[in-house]
Amino acid sequence: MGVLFSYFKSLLGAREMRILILGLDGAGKTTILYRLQVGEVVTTIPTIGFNVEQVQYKNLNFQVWDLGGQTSIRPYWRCYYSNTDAIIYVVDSADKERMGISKDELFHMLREEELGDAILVVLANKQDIPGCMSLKEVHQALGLEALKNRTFQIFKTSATKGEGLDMAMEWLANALKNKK
Amino acid sequence: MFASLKNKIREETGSDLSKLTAKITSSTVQRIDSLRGRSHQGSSSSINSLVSSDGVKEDGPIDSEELRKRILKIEAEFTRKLDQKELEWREIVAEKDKQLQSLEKEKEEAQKQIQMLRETLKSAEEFKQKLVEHQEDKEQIENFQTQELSKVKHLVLLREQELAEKTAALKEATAQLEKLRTEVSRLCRQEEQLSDLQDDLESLRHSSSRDLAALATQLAKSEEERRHLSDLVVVLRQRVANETSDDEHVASERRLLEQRLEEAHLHLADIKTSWSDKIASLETQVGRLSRQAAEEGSERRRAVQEKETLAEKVRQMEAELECNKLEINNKETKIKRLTLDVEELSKELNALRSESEEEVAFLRTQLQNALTEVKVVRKNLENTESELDRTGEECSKLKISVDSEHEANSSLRLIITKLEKELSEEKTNSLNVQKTLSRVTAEKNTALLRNAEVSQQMEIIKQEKRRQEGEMNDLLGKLSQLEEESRKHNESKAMELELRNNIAELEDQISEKNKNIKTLQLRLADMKKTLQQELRTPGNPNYHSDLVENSAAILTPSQVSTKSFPSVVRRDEDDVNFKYLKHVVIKFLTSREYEAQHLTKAIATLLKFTAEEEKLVNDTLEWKRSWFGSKPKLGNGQKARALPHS
Repeated sequence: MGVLFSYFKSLLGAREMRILILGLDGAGKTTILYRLQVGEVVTTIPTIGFNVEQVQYKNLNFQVWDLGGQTSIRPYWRCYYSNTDAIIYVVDSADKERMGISKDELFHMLREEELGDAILVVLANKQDIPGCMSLKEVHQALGLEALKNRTFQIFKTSATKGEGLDMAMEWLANALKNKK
Repeated sequence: MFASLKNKIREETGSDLSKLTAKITSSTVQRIDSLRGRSHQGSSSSINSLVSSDGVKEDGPIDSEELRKRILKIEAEFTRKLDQKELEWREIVAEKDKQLQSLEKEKEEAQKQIQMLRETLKSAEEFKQKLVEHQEDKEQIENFQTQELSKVKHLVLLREQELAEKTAALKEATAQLEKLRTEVSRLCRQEEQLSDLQDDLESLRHSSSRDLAALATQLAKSEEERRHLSDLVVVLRQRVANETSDDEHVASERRLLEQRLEEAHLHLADIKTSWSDKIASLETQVGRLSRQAAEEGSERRRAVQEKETLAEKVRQMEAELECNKLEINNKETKIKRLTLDVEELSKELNALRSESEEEVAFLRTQLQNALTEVKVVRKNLENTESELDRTGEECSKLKISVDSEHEANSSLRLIITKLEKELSEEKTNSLNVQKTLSRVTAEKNTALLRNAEVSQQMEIIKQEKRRQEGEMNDLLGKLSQLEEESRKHNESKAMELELRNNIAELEDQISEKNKNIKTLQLRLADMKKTLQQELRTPGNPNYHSDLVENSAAILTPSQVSTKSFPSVVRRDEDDVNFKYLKHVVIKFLTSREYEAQHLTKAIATLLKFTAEEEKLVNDTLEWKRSWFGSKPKLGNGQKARALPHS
C-alpha cells in the first residue's frame, strides 16, 4: 500500500524536499522541528538518534530530519548527507563559549562533497535570552563572511517564542523554488 | 564748596601760625605766588568795593589780628548772604523743577490720551470698513437673488409658452376630430343610400328572375304548343295521306295551317326576340346595377376603412388628449410650485432685504456713533494738544525763567568766587610777610633733613640691590635645575608609554591564552560528563581510573583535539552509540521505504558493514520498492544473507 502510495506520489512529481536540521546539542533543533510541524512548543529531551517529520509550507513538502547534536554522535551526521536539499544550522546565541566549536562543526560539514548544492540557513536561536549575541556578532563568530559559492542566509530566531521562523522558512521556500 | 572754604578758614584761623606755615608745602607756595601775581591785576576794584562797604581804611603794614577779625566779619557776612541767596534759589529751583515735572506728567498723560484716541479712531475706521464689506455682501446677495428670480421667471415663461403650444395642438386635434365626425356621419348617410340601392338591386334581381321564370314558362308553353302543332301537322299529313281525295282541300288547309304555323312561328320568334330584348335589357340593367353595387360596395368598403382609420385616429387623438391633459395638469402643478417657490424666494428676499437694511441701519448708526465719537475724540485731542502746546509753552517759559535764574545764580556764584579769590589774596598778602622768614628757615631745615633722608635711602637701596642680585643668581641656578628636571621627566614619560604598550600587548596575549584555557576547560568538562556517565554504568572501575588519568594527561593545551578522542574514549561512547543504533534500527524498521533508504547508510556506518553488505541491503530495498525486477542474489545455505523466499 505504502509502495503504491509513494509510487503514485513520485509519478505526480510532488517530490519531498529533504532538509537536515543540524547544530550542537542543546541549540534547539528539536524544538524548532516541532514548532515548524505543529506550531507549538513541546518539551524535549536530548535527542540520541534523530527525529524525522513531514512539514508543509506554501505547497511545498519538506521531509525534515532533526539529527542529534551530542559530541559522540555528531560523526554520524555524514550518514544522512546524501540527496539533501537544504541544511538548517541552529546556533545557540547565548552559548558564547561553544561558538568556536559550532563554527568548526559547520565548516567541517560544509566541506562534504554531498552537500555541495545544499542551501544553508543559519538560525541564531535563543534570541529571547538576555545578554545573547546579536545577529551581527553570531555572523562574525561563525565566520560566515568566508562562505563563497553557497546560497545561504542567517536569521535571528526564538523557537520558544516562535519569532523569526516564518521569515526563515519563507526565504528557504523561495530559495528552493528558485533552485528548481 | 563754601562750607569747605569756611572750614578751611576756620581751621586756619584757629590753628597756630607756625602750624599754618608748616602746612604750606612747596606746591601751595607756588599756588599762592600765582594768585598773588594775578591779584595785582584784577583785584583793585573788588578791594575798593570791599573797602567802601566796610568804611575802614588801612594803610601801611597791617596788623594780623585786626586783619583776621575783619576778614572774619566779612566772611561771616558773605556766608550769611550767600546762604540766604542759596536757600532762596534752591527753593525757587525746586519749585520750578516740581512745576516742570508736573508739566511733563501732564504731557505724558496727554500723549497717552492721544494714543488712546488714535486707537479708537483706528477701531472706528475698521468698523467702517466692515460696514462697507457688509454692504458689498448684501448687494452681492441681492444680485444673486434677482438673478435666481429672473431664472425662475424665465423658466415659468418657457413653461407657459409650452403650455400654450400644447393647448393649440389640442384644439387643432379636436377640430380635426370634429371634421372626421362629420365625415363619418356623412358616410353613414351614404351607407344608408348604399343599403337602399342594394335592396333595390335585390328587388330588381328578384323581379328579373321572376320575369325570367315567367318567360321561361311562356317559352315552354309556346314550345309545347309548337310541338302540339307539329303533332297536329303530322296527324294532318297522315290524314292527308289517308285522304288523298281531299287533297286539294287538305292541301289548302295544310297550306293554311302551314301559314298559320308560320305565323305562329313568326309570332313565337317575335315573342322570342321581344323577350330576348327584354332579357338583354334586363341583363344590362342587372349588370349596371351589379356594377353600381360593386362600386357602391367598394365605396362602402373604402368608407368603412376610412371610418376605421378615423376611429383609430380619434382614439389616438383621445389618448394624446389625455396625455396632454395630464401634462397640462403636471405643468400646472409645476407652475404652482414654481410660483410658490418664487413667492417664497421673494419673501425670503424681502426678509433678507429688511434684515440687511436693519443691519445697514444699525451699522450706519454705529458708524455715526463712531464718527461722533471720533469727532469728540478729535476735539478732545485738539483740546489736549492745545493744552499740551500751552503747557509746553509754559514749560519752555518756565525753563527760560529757570535758565535765567540759573544764569543769575551762576553770575552770583561767579561774584562769590571772585570775592573769595579776593579774600584769599588778601589773606595771602597778609600771611606772606609772616611766612617769608619762617619759610626760609623751615626750608633750610627741611632741605637738610631731606638730604639726610635721601642719603639714607640711597644706602638702603644699594644694600637691597646687592641682596636682590644674590637672590637673582640663586633663582637662575634653580631655573637651570628645573629645566634639567623637566627634560628628565619627559624622557621618563616616553619610557612609561613604551612600557604601557608592552603591558597592553602582554594583556592581549594573556586574554587569548585565557580563552584557549577556557575552551580547553570546556572540553575537559564535556569529557568529565561523559566519564561520569560511563561511571554510572557498571564496568571496570580500574578502567575508569585509568581513563581519568589518561584524560588528565591528555589535557595539555597544545595537543587537545576532538579528532584524537574517539580512540581513547571508545568505551565511553559505546553506550551512546548503542542507544543511537537502537534508535536508528527502530526507525529503520518502522519507516517508509523512502526514508529507510536514507537510513541504510547510517546503519552501515554504525554496524561497520562492508561495501557488499551495504549494496545488498540497498538492492533489497530497491527491489521492495519497485513493482517489477528480479530479487537480488542472496546466496544459499550457509552463505545466505537473507531469509529464503517461501
